[in-house]
Amino acid sequence: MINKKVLMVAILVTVSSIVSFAQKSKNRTEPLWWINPNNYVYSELNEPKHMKMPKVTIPDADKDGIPDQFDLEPNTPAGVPTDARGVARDTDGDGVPDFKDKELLTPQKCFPVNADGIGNCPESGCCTEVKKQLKDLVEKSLTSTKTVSDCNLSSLPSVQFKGSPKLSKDAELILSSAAAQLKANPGCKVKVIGYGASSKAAQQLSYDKVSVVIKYLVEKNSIAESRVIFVYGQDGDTNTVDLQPTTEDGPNTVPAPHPNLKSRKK
Amino acid sequence: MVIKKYTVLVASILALQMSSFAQKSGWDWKDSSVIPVKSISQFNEFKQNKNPYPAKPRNAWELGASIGPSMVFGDVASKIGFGASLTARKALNNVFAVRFGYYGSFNGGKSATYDYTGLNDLYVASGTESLGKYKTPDYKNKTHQLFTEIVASINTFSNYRGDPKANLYVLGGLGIIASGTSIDTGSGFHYVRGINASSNLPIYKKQGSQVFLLGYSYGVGFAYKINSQFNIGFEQRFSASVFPFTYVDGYRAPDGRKNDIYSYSGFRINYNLLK
Repeated sequence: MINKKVLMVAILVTVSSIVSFAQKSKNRTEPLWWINPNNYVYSELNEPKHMKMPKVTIPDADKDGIPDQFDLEPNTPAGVPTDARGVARDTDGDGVPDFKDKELLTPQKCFPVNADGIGNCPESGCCTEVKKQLKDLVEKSLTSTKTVSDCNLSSLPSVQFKGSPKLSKDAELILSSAAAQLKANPGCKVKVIGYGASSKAAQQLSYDKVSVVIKYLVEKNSIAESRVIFVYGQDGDTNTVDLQPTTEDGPNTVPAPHPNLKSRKK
Repeated sequence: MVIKKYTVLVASILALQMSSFAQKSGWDWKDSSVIPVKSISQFNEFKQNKNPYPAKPRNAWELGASIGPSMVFGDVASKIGFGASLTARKALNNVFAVRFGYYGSFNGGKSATYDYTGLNDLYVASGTESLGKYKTPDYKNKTHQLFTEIVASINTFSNYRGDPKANLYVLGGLGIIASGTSIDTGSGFHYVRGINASSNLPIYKKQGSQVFLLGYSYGVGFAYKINSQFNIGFEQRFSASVFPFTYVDGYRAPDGRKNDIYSYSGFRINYNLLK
């Protein structure tokens, strides 16, 4: 009979100690046989919350920044600026993109244009006459002030730098268009004006920038060196180099002001 | 009365403790509170996508109780007895679990007359019957068993459903069987105390106690989940002595079985000790 008592007490102690142990212990999941180990895998396949997904890459064959899916012109030549649909920019809307257009701003009345983007407007007789009269008038006035002016260009675009004296693609495009205008106006000279007078370094930097611009105009766009006037070290925004059409004379080259401070960045 | 008193005590303590638990279900892999300290580095690596395998969570003990009919497969026709069990089961992984259990049963057998006339009978058990034709005695048996069992869930990991609602399992184990058998010798019930080594016959004594046996067990069971804490089930379990012992029914028939087997069919209710 003693066995019964001992046994029951033993069972009582065992069971209640297991229960109280479990109560004191930490959080637990259900027993593992009630858990399907595939749950995690299938949940992730269904709705990834933890999976490391590969970076999405959208193909852009012509690298114009517009994905092929949305690119209306998937074979734009490299480096050509495009609009939001990936079509090469055509400022005057003549159907010939800027990079092929030899007349960037053709008036609409001169459409259609030829393959080079040049309009079909013949210069009207009246216009020629007016121009001639104007020219005469100007010549007359110039003669009277003892200056020679046969330049019809009123303005040329400015070139922007980003710190170092190096031409950006945009700047090159601007210079090319400026050169085209200069070629169309053989009477014009161009004053290339660099800014930066605050210190010797700034003066040297403006000299470098002007040099780069002139070099580009002369070497890449075949503008005669004699038509370029070198001006640097003016007061103003150091990142800007202005192109100013002029008929004045001036130095085509000047010695570097502080060659020891020449920018090493190329 | 002693047994009843303690049973009521155990039951009431269990009921009190269980009712104090809050209900909680499921396993969230982001929940670090169920990760054991030794696995926390694996858990962190997994969370940072440096290790593809999540850490094994700390899982709950399952406490189970059952009652049901019990029988002895022996030489004497068994009456339907009564059994009960208390178990504690803990998963080792998603398939295997270890279970510690107590199984108690009351069994009995009814006397019957057997005619073995013509057989060369070498076995005379009680010594009261004549050779060839004899009557088996009535017996009563009280057994306690303490077992450690391995439970293997034979559910496959489903690719088509989530967590299983039902669990089919097999089990096998080793333990101690304390078997107390008394037979009606004509002058009242006498206990089978042991076996006489020379005559190979049981020794009967008026004052009884158990015979301790090293036992093995095997079985199959089914559980159905009610919620994250409770599940119910049915289990058929057999147990017997590792070294053949035929006196569970207190009798050794001439052509009888060499090893008597306990059968217990338990209706189970199981409770998960979640926190």
